[in-house]
Amino acid sequence: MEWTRKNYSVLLKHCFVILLGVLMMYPVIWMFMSSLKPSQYIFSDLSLWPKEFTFGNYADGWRGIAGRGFGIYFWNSILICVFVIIGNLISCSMAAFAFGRLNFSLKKLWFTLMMITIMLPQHVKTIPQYIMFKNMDWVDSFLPLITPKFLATETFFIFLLVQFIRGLPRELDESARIDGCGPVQIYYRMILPLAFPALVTTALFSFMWTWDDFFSQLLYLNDSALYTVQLGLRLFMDSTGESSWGPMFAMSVLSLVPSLVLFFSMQKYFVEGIATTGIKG
Amino acid sequence: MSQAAATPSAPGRDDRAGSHPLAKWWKRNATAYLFLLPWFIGFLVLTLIPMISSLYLSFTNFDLLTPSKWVGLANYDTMFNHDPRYIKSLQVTFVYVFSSVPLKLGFALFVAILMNKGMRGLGLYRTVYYIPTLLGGSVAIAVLWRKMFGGDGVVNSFLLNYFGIQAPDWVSNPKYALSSLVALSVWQFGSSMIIFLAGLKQIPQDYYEASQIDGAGRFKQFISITIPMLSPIVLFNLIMQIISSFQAFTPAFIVSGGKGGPLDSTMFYTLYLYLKGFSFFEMGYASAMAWVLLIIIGVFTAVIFASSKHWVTYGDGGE
Amino acid sequence: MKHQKKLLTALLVLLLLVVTACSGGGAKVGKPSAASPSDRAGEEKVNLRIMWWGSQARHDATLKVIEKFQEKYPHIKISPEYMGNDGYFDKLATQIAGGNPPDLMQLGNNYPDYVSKDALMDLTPYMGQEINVESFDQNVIEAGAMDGKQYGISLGSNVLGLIYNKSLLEKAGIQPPKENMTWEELEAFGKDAVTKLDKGVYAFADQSFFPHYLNYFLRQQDKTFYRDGTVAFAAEDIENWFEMWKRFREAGIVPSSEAAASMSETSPDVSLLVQGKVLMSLVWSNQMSGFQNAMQDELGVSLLPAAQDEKRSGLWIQPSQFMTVSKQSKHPKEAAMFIDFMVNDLEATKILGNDRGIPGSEKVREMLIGEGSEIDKKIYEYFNLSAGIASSMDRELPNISEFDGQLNNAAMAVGFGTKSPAEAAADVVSAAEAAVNKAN
Repeated sequence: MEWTRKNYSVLLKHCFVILLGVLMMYPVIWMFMSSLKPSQYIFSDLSLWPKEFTFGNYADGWRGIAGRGFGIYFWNSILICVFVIIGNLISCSMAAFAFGRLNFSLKKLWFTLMMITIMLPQHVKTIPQYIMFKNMDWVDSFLPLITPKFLATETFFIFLLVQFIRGLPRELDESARIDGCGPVQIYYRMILPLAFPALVTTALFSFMWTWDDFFSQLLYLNDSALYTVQLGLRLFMDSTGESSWGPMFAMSVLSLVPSLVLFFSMQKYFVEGIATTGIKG
Repeated sequence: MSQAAATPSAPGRDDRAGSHPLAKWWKRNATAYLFLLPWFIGFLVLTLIPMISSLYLSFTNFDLLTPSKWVGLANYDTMFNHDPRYIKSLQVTFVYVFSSVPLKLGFALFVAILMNKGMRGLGLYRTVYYIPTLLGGSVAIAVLWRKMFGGDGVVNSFLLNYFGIQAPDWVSNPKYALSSLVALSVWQFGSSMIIFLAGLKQIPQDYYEASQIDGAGRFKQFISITIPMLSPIVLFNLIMQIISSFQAFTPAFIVSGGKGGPLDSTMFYTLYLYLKGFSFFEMGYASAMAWVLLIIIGVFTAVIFASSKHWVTYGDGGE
Repeated sequence: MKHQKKLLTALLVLLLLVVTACSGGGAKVGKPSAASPSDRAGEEKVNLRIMWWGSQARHDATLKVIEKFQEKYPHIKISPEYMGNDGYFDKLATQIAGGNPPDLMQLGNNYPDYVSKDALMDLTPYMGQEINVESFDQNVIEAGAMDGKQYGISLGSNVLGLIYNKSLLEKAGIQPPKENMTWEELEAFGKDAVTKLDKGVYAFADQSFFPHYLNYFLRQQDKTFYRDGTVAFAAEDIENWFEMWKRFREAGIVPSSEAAASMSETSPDVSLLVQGKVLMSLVWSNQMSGFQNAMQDELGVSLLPAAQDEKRSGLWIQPSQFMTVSKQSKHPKEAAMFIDFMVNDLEATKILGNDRGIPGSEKVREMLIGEGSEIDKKIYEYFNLSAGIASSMDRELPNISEFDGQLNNAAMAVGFGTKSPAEAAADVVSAAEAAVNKAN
């Protein structure tokens, strides 16, 4: 009796989760289906299922512009993302360790200032920053996109990691200290492994935000050999003339693939975590 | 001149360090400041300079292309006394923040707990639920959103077919356009969900085991273990969502084609700021708007931080 | 724990890979290396940067033209920066403000904004020298000049046209709109059409917010947005315009604002015409093929309605995109040479086609007419028809984008019934005055 009741509730839960999932997926399904429609059907035919299938949009899109295909854009995006991830992981975890675990004077002041920096909308910082990078002769390279990440400019991640680090029991540090660990060892041997889920989150978000970023890539990259996926997608869009919607949808679908693969392969680290084994071990 | 001028930040430690107050200070703080070094460089060079120049520009009539002239408080005066569109954008933004933040966080927490464990195929579900967030700033989102919430979009067909309700066009109607953007923000709950999930994973399993032995039910466990242990993460999500919702730009920009329409009903604060700065060539005015927004966000953040003493518990037992 | 180690190793390997890959193609991450000094032998090397917005076809074509130009003038190297129109002007403004503008910039009719901010080079010294405009229509050249100075050369002209869904018309048994119909006849045509069309299909799209449609309406009364440095229309003109659309709405020949406010008909993704829900809408001629390519039904083009008491034709030929040269350019002469190549060289113009609008050179037009597709032929035919009627163009209202937003709000306010046409008209007048005052 109890057994079946449990089964029933599991079934209900699955139904709910699936239904919600369909709602989440619908726009993506629509986009995928549209990417398979010839251009004259995309907006004129309102049904989801294509009347005619074509892979021409994919071929057209992948070809890119004047022989510079989407392969290059993907490579550039991935390159930037890798550096951004590394930069954020190193610099933000260092800052977070200081704010979350160490005592030092003026800590509150620096923390407040750090929070204030993200309260100013990016748009008004754009031009001063551009002038600065131009004076460094960094415009038209990846440096303005990558270097700031090695200097802990992503307050979001610092704050995130601070919150996770502060959630870890203090007694752990004490016992490590008794074992003769200095702050550097505590950071490296203890805090980093224990904050692993948060570091995975940091890496994941770094990837996705950089992947999706458009405006700063637009500003700082001029040479089409340096263009990224987001810039590539916009190359199809001209609302004042004739946009190439089909290739744009096709490449948009493709541009989701790396993020999806990364997410799917990383998400098991949320499941297993380390909190269960880590503390005891 | 020579010895006394030793700058406080000079890392060179001489042997008399033990006695000198600055050297003492340095000894106490050196580790922390070294860990903060990258941040300091970034803060001073990459963040502070642009911030200060934008503050300066807020008192000028900077138009992007020609040299700026000092105008004192004129921009601030215009904002509050002569610019109805500004006031409108302020209203729209407040409504957006106060509806989207609680809805999104509540939904994210709910799904995170649902997705935490004990189900087959969780990995797949989680990925599916994250897809909307991936689409976030996509060029295609405007078209997709019209497919969802337009006059004959999915939502309306569903309402019509199953409930017989003839619903309005959620995107076109100024009464509802903002709520469709709130829905868009809730739909993209994936990031908050992930952070909650990571937080849930960090709660040591032994706590639950111990309380189970004590005979606590699942609800009691939720109240007495999950919520307190998760509170630092709730604080984080709350603050970051408030900051980012006040600055929300992309959804309105893309869905309304950069116009904030219909009838300015989706004219977010930063969208108006952006239009002023880049489309209407009033970067001085936009800078002033940015600093007012900074103060608004600052007040909210400060209040939440102050209140957090009462409801956030840290593993380190700290303030 | 094992997983972390694996992940860490994977990350390290990846890092190594990336580092080695970068040291191979080092120039990609860093600055592109400066031109090697060994090239200095013959003529001095000139580097030009050019920036434009567009979509796939335009990028491909323009890049090909650059290649041809470089073949012809090997000492000039042109670095292209191209993108969609999303963010184009933001990037341009940032570059100019940052002292780093491209030498050649594609601008729209907003170019006077850049003239007033002293960002453009006066091209007058190059006219008749590097830039040859002999075969150009005079008004096309004049459109790129202000206060007697030439700032831009038109890359193509557009004209407004009413496109209608011919297939839908035939299916419903409606006669195509006859040429030279008046506003009253258009209204009657709409009323008749909706009785024959399916429910939920309307005769016209609501375009009461479309600034150039309104300007067309004003020009028929010999008024216009902006003339001789002032606003050249009155509130009652705008009121008439809003009243007319209100009548259309009430008669059910345009969809209600509730249903259509987000469908602005400015491109196929926001078009009820493309979805087959309206019969007719107004677009620029360079968008017509975009609309046609997004539809299965066949499109026809018709002239805009005439006014009964018309003082002059409301129609005008609008040179829509200009190639301009930055004031900070160090090589204006070479830049001028490239502009000339773009608009006169027969091979180049053939590659570019009419993607930026109908070319201003008659010679080029003659060559292109024979080449086009079905819809291109219709567009040329329509263009020639309207060119015969059109009266001269007025200067664009300064700060048009801010005015545009406010006109949109006023029109919507009437559509949603929150303001009367008279109130909305007053808003439009004050918005126009503010836009003009700001420029002075």
